[in-house]
Amino acid sequence: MRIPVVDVRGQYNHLIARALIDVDLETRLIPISITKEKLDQMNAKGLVMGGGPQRIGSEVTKFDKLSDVIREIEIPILGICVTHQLIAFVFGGKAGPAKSPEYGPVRVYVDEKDGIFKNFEDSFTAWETHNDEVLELPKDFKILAHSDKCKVQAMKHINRPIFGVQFHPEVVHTERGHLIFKNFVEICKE
Amino acid sequence: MDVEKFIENQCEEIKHAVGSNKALIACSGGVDSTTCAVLAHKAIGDNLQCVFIDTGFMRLGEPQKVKSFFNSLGLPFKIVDAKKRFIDAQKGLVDAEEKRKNFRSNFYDVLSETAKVEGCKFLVQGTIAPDWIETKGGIKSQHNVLDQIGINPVEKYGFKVIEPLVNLYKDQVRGVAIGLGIRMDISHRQPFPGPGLLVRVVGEVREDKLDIEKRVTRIAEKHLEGSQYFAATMDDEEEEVENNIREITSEFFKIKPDQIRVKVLKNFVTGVKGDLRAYKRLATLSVVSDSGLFKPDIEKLVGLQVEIISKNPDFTRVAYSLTEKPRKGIYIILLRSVETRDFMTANVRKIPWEVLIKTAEEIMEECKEVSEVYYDVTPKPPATVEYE
Repeated sequence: MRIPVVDVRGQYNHLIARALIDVDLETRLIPISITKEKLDQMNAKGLVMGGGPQRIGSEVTKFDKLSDVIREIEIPILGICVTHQLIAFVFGGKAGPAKSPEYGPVRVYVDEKDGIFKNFEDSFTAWETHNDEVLELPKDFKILAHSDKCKVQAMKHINRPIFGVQFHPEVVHTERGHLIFKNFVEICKE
Repeated sequence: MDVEKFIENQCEEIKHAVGSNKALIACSGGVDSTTCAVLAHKAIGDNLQCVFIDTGFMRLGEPQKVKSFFNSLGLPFKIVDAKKRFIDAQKGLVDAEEKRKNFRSNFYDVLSETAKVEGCKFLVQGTIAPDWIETKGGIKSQHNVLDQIGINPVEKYGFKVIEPLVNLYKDQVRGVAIGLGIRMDISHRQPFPGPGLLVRVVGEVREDKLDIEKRVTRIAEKHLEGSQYFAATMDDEEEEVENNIREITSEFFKIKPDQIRVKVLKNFVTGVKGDLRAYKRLATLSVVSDSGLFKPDIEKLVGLQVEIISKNPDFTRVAYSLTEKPRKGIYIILLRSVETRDFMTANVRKIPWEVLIKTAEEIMEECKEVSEVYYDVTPKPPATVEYE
């Protein structure tokens, strides 16, 4: 199973690769300059995109062609932190500075225990580090999880296997974080 | 991770790269460099020369301790005394990144000179994943990263760099250490930063401040525990910075505002917010009611910290007072203990109050220059484990 991880230059991108290898997968970090053609060539079955220091509002150009990749590919996508926000932006939603930025432990409430949240409890402690957030959900997306301060902690396209999470499932302090990857891998197998 | 296979592969690679040349390795006595030295020695034998650079920023008695350990391992080992050089170079520096970069440049200059004397064309180093991730990401400049940030070691220092552990995290390195048969007290030693106590003497380094730091380090390490635990020294100098920390605390604990004291320190501290460096303020917080020091659950204090940092963008850390009656002094001591697997995220350890108080009292007793002792209640993020 080949699910590459796009290195968006965030602190935990390398940990995502480690987490995916832990669920028994051949994976590797690929640069942000990735294109649809390259993904086809490597026969990718899914795509995970990490977090990064870029700000969606003012620095959307710093994602290279990643917006086009998100728009064009048909394999399952999981965006984490800033690429969760990028997915929202690409599909017509809005992302920008959060009224209450979250750092460290945050209680996240699961609204839909299916897909990437299969086998999750009603709520769990996740670790976050974000200055921006999804302010407006794109059309054709639904909310999968929220926190007291951030209403879109996780979202999914209603027809396609495109997921975004604001929190960091790859860090060890997020409860059952690795279950997100396990579930995503299952979705990629379908 | 298949440890046996990893050791086998890395030995082959080191052998292949070094050939019949000599290689140098800087050993601090920490887990990463020790593991790397044993691994490289397995590969190239006594063509490896271990060197301990005494920067002057080590714990009391550390050079001798590391020497006797390396002797027991049978690895070629030398100490280079560079104490004066390192501390002189730091004179007048206050900014954390300037201090770190100055340390790095001295560190590699000394290594470069040593490599020439020893006839080494290679430098093996125990750089691990968080080192280059944090350096490349601009969070903080670790002392052992060159190639990854575009510094050519051959051109600048005259040696090629080999980094066998570069994709591993601390817990994986410990696994390799066990696989190599390294003693548990070394393989499970708590991490110690490359620049040593330099980054725990927050702000400008002075001889007396460094001396206090060495003394409080001994006391903190005696009483505390966790994945990493230590004490840091800051100047007791206040600065007026607008904030609503007292109001948030009053509301959070339902306590009268006049029982709450908030002091913002002049020294900046390092943090990480949303994958960006946050070199910002530390707020010290003290709550003393009629019945003495207010001692809520540590977990509650971490929760309060979340509220404070979320609403005060100029701040990156919160520390809570362990001293009921502060006195006049020139330094403030911060106790820190965290729980983590890989040091990319870290939680605050729930050290029992009686242990915290006992540690603080011993520090106040033994160091008359200290005015107050605090416990840092900030996870990573938004703080980093170390202060600079």
